[in-house]
Amino acid sequence: MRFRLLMSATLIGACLFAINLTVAVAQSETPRSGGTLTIARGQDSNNLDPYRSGTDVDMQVTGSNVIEPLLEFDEQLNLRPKLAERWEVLDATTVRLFLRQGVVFHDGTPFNADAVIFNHEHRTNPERPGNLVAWVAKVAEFRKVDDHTVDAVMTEPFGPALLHFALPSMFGQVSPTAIQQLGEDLGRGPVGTGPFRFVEWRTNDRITLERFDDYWGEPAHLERVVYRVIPEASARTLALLTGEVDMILNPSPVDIPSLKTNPNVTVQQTEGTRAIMFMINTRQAPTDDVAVRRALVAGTDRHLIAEHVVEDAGAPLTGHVATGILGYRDLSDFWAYDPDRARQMLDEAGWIPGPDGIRVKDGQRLELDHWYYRNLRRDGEVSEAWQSQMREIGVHVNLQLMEYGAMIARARSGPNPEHNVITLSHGVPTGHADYLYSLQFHSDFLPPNGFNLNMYASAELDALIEEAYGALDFDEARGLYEELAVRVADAATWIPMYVTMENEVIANHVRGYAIHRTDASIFLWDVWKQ
Amino acid sequence: MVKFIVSRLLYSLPILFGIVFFVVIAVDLIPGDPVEVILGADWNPASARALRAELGLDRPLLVRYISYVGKVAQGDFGRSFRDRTPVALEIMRVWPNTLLLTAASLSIAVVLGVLAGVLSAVKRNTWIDGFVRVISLLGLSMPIFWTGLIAIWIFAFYFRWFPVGGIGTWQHLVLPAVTLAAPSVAMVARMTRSSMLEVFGEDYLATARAKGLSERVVVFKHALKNAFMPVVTLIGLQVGNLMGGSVLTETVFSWPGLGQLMVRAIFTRDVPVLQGGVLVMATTFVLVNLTVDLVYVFLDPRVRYS
Repeated sequence: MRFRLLMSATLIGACLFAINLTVAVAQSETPRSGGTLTIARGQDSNNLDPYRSGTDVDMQVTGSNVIEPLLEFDEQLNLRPKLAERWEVLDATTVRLFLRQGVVFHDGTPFNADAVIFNHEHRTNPERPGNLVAWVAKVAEFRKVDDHTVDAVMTEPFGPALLHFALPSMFGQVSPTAIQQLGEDLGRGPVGTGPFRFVEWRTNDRITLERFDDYWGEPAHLERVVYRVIPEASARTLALLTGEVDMILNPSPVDIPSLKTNPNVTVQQTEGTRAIMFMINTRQAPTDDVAVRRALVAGTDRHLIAEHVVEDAGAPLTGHVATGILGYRDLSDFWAYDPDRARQMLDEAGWIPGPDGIRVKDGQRLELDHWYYRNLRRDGEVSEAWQSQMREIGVHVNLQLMEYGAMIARARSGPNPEHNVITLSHGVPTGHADYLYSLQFHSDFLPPNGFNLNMYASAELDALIEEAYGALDFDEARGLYEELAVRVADAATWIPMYVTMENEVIANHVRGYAIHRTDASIFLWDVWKQ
Repeated sequence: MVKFIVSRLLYSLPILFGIVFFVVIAVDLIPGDPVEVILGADWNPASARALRAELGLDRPLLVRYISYVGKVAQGDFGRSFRDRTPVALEIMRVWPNTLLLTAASLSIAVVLGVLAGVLSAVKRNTWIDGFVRVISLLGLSMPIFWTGLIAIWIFAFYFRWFPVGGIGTWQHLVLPAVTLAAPSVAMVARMTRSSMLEVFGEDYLATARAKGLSERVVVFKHALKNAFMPVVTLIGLQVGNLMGGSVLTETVFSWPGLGQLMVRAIFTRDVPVLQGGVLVMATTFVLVNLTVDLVYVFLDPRVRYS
């Protein structure tokens, strides 16, 4: 009898527990409508007009929250519909876009084919072109088929075009009425089609967005979003821990280990799309010798640097671009750390160790000029660590610290920059490797015209780059990028370092947020607060 | 008196011109090109040329300076290189915040500093005196960004008495104002103390006591008032320090002020904003100095300006 009672009690207890658990789970699963999400970041935006600025600090606010592009990347960089419901490749230079119906801008203007055409014309207006116009203009025009269908006609076969349609900084749609009425004032008050509308911007303090109830899709859960500026990294972390803010972007790498063990917050990390590398000037002695360059690469232990210097801010680079980007090729075999091999290569090239360990050839010491900068990610410390690794193989590195803007200006001041090695970071927001290979290896972008600071270009390489980005078939493109990657890696134009890790720290009462691979996209439509 | 004020204001104009000229040259000397920074990844020779012409950077330095002065005289401070907002508008968005912070810090510095200095002087060589002098030394020696972070950690994070940063309520003002004031409190206290000690030996104080006046009246009405001139000078100079130091405090406490705006303008080579900001700060400083000189008249009837 007692046993029966005990069993019943246990059974009832178990049922109650299960019910309680279900209720608790159900409660935490049902999005709650309303509330204000406060996000803290270290810098204020510059200009919220997507045609005047595509930088991260601006796209964080507007990208896909206020301004929507024609297509969109999901968290893994796959394409999906946005303002265009579907698309059809008609021929090598034409893509037909079927636009979503029933979409209005925040000021009530309807979104349709005319709006898309107006946006493009405004963007490519020769008197005041928008930023990134060199890419945007690959689309010669949008031809109207009917009110909700346009044909994107390109100047030449251009593989990345579809991917570019997913970038708010290139094809984000702004209300034509607002463009006409506000002009440059759009920078302080963007008008788009997104789930949130712009409310106000208090300089260096906060930007406020609120839910747009006439959104074409399901309205967002959050009532308001506030982007606060907290320049000091430790103050940002403290603000999260006191509950003053719900989320912080780009936390200081120093704080991440302790935040990971904090039970009230979650650190979300994902590999970003930005590679940090040292570009080697292939036209400046002594790095004009490919044997020397290969030795430098073999003498670099980027895994050690990533683990101990960069830590949570990055992971070792394994290709010219981050994984998952179209055109990625694993180049670890070209970049293996082998200091003995490095020394051997230098010996064979005639560089013999001198009395102080630094190699000498024909009376010249093996000295390199390394231009670098310092930042929160510790790129400065990376260079300093590398200098000691080079010492081990008998190379003397002259570290020349510069402020970033000054360094770039100097590197691009003329056709013959004087660095041997220069630190640079190259993001690929398009998800397509052309964004790297064109900008860094095409002869069009040799200084002073661009960022080909490797000074490595040839007509043959140009042809290969152009063929690769012309391939509309992604499998064909992959094959060509394989060839391109190997060719460039074999010439040892880079000392690869690391790929950024995007870190964001979210308080646990914030639900539905998934970190995105590019450092610019903060998708808030699906987010809610308990 | 009015003539004096007017002539002082007129004299300050060449000073302001000179300051602006210095800033224009200094910014021009900074390596790095505003056009580069603005165009970023979009840089190409054609766009660069167009932007340079649009921003007026293709003209020689002297021409740029003269044109700027001419425009300023008409109230046009130019437009930000970053987003084409009128500079005057951008500065006015944040300048009141810096003024507020400076005023609050100055008040704390004067009140606390003078009281501490008087106390220290009156209780000379007692433990109170020693205590005040040690605390002063600490306030002078510790860097603002460190004391600020410690203050946030203790009072905002641990005790939750104040917010971590930002602006909006009086609670937001307390920590930054106190942190910024700390070095000034120290200096004002020390100056008050030494100035009071100098005055203590004077005969008129003995006369006042002989007349039967209370010690409080003797100290504050007679001694302090006579000792106050050097302190007033110091306070005037402190305004400059506070405005400059506000940059660090604004960064640590996320206080959206002119200091932060100018730091960003330096990094983005936003020349019009930089020039405008410097002009505003310099003008304020000139006006503060004028006020200090006028206060002398009030304090010491022997001072007369023709």
